[in-house]
Amino acid sequence: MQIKLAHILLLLFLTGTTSLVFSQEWSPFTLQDKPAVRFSRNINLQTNTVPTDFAQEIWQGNYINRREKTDALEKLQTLENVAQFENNTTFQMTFPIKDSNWIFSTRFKNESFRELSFSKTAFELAFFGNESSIGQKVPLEFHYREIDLMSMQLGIHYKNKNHIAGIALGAVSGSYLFDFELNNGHIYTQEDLSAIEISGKSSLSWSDSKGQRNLWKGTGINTNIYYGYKNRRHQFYIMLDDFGIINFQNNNIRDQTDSTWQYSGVNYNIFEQDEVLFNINRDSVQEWTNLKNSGNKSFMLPSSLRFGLKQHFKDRNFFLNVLGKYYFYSFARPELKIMPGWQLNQNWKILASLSHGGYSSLNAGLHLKSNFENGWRLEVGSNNLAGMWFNNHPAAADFYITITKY
Amino acid sequence: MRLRVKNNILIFLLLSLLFQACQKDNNPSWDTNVHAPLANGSITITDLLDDSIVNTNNQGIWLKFSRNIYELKADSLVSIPEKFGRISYATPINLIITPGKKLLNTSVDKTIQADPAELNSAHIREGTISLKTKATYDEPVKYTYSFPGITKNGQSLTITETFPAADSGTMIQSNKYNIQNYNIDLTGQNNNAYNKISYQVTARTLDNADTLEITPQDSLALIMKFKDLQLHKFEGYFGQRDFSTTDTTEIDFLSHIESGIIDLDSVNAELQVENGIGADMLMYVNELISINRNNNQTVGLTGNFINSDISIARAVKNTSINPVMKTIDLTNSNIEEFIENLPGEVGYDLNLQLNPLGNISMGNDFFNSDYPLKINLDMNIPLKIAMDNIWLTDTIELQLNKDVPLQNADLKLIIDNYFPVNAEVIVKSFSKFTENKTITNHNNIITSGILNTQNIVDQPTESSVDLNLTEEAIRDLKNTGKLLVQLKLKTNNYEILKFHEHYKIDYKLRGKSTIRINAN
Repeated sequence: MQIKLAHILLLLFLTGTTSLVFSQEWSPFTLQDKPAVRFSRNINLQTNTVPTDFAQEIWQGNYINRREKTDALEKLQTLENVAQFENNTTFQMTFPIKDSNWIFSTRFKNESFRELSFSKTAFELAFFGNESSIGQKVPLEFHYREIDLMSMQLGIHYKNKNHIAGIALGAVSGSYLFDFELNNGHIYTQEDLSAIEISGKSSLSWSDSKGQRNLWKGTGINTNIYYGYKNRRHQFYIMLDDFGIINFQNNNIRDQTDSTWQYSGVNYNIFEQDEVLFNINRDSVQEWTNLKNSGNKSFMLPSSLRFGLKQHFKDRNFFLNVLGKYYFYSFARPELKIMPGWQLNQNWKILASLSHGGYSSLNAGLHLKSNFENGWRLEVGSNNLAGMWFNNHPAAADFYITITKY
Repeated sequence: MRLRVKNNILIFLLLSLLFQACQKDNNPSWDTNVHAPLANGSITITDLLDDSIVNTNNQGIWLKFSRNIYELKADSLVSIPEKFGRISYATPINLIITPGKKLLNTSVDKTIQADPAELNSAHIREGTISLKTKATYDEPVKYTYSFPGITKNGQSLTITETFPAADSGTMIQSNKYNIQNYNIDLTGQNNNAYNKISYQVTARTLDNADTLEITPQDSLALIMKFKDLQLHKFEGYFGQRDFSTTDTTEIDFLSHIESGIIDLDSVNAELQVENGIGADMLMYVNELISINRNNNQTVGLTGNFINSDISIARAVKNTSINPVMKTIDLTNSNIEEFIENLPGEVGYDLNLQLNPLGNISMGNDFFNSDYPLKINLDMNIPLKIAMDNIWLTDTIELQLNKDVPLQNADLKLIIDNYFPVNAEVIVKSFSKFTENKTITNHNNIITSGILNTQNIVDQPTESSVDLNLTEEAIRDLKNTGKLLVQLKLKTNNYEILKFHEHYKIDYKLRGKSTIRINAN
């Protein structure tokens, strides 16, 4: 089968609409002295504590019963329960300059990023209510962030026999931002139910309180910088990924302040009732939260500093990758991944992975890489087989495919 | 190798579809129990009673009621008969009527039977003239009716209709013509009579018809009637006559009370007779009765005015009508007992004598339906009352949006009561298909406020009422938007207590609600 442009477009279309895949970390050593096109799509759900069966009920839109909620609650940590949902599409092209060590690249990326960090008490409040905490001051921590971005990067890379380095700079447009944070929060329900009090340091930034997307609501820049070294048996690289800043204009902002909300019921005259009870809309939420209607807010974009080590053994048929990742401006924790691999023959490699950190807990994965005729390269695998396989394991779901044409 | 690439892409597509198939379009949902305050508010005297009936002053709170218990209508005063004209035509010899020639031309000054009234004009609010034609002629005939005394905006009423040829036997045709807002002059052709309607009828064969041959066997009858006549005004002499009327009138201000006993401290009441009719009256009240339909108890009103003549003078008309008022004081009657019977209706038995002194207006009596003769019962009741097991029933509108995710609720209604009244509360939801569900349970007593030495409540008493809203009751509430509330009221020791302006109920609604969260 001769793979043609039409096949690639068909694949892009299908993956863009129906797939759940996760791209593997890009290694600068995959850059070759030939032009290349690389496509990846990444839909990634991860959590470090919420069990798989609970996440599955959420994902499938089912009714969650009390037993499932109780099982999930028992698995949570007191603090720093995190979850992430990411949906990226990346298209990258590289152009080596003939008879030189320089390579140009361009990258387009569409990214929808949501992350959540919450305390066990916040989960209990949301899924069980305040039944068990009446008369007690219960601490609350909660942070939810949702960002939709598009970016375009231009990069230049230098590569010789042992060294490789590169830098890419790009422009970012943000179409949506929602960021709500409650720090050092408490909820107190009075024993006689006369009032509920929520206090804490809260902030809210919302690009549009009606939830509408606008492509140029936010503008910013980002960059990728890396350096790598390799010899016959070793490879090493370090890379700063998508480090940048974005400014959202005219969004609704409530600055971080110590606040106390007290709710003691609505004032209601049964003889003059003409409004519909419980009719809460977004505008009334905006009024209640005292949002300012205009204001610019700048945010550092979620980014990471990562490194990779690769050691070959025994005639290069056996090798070991060690990958580390430190996240900036996100809720993820430092991540470490070990990937032993075997070169099965000239075209096929198989790798196992064991990882811990990020938005997830301990996880195992399996990966397959193949080089085909005419310069096609295919990578498939999963980093989270444990998260998908065991119901009691913290939920994580991914399956990735990366297609490269040299 | 080609085969391997193909297989890999196929596997990838199958896995993609597998993941997609696992995801449903539904939103995840779960139930959460929220213990919270829901609502609070106050109910004052003016909330409980219509603003228009509450008067407050330094002496306390007074309730002011005014209800119409009798009204004299136009049809009780005079009656105009429906049938007011008939023309019959027959010939003893054979007649030949050529096309376009007159067959009949007759003028009539008809006296209508309105005795003893002698009317000279009337104004019609609603009504029609019905014209009925019976004929045996075998050619079509055109009839023209002219009523010079029936006018609107200066134009007299003329009706033209064509009667088709009768193929065999007698043919009958009826038509109605609207005479709304027409004036009728009842003084006849010479304008010097009364109860007379003048009209002219002509009959003519059509120009394009054949010659009409009329034999002694042929006949023609034209019948003129008023239908559904409602008079707005009329003038003349209404005659000297007696008439009696017996009927009941519903009164609404105590309609929420189903049963029980009340004891009022006092009632200031009077009957107001308002005469807008330009005729003298002599009224004789046989009885006025308070009727309680719940227990069928009746109380007749006593007083000097019962069974005695009450003279009522005629209204005066200049540019407008000025009714004459006659006040009958009920201070020395049993009006308290009358009201304490909690009437839903007032029954009356009256005799009225019209124009007892004869035609003293020289034929200038007048009636205008906007100014009838009315009898009103006006009351000022100080809110100083004793109650024993008074059951009040009412509905409360409570619109609950169908999307409200409330599943069920166990609520407490906490009440600070300043009223010197104990109450038992029963709340029910309305159901379209099944029995009404009771939301309250046995814990449903509201204790009266505590009276100080001056018999005034200055400290409220706190009570709580349990409300159990089941899924069914919430569904009923969403469907109907109504709650049925029944209150059994009782003052301590059936003691007469004065109500003050500061009396109120403060309420707080709190409790546990199960909410169905639907995440989207």
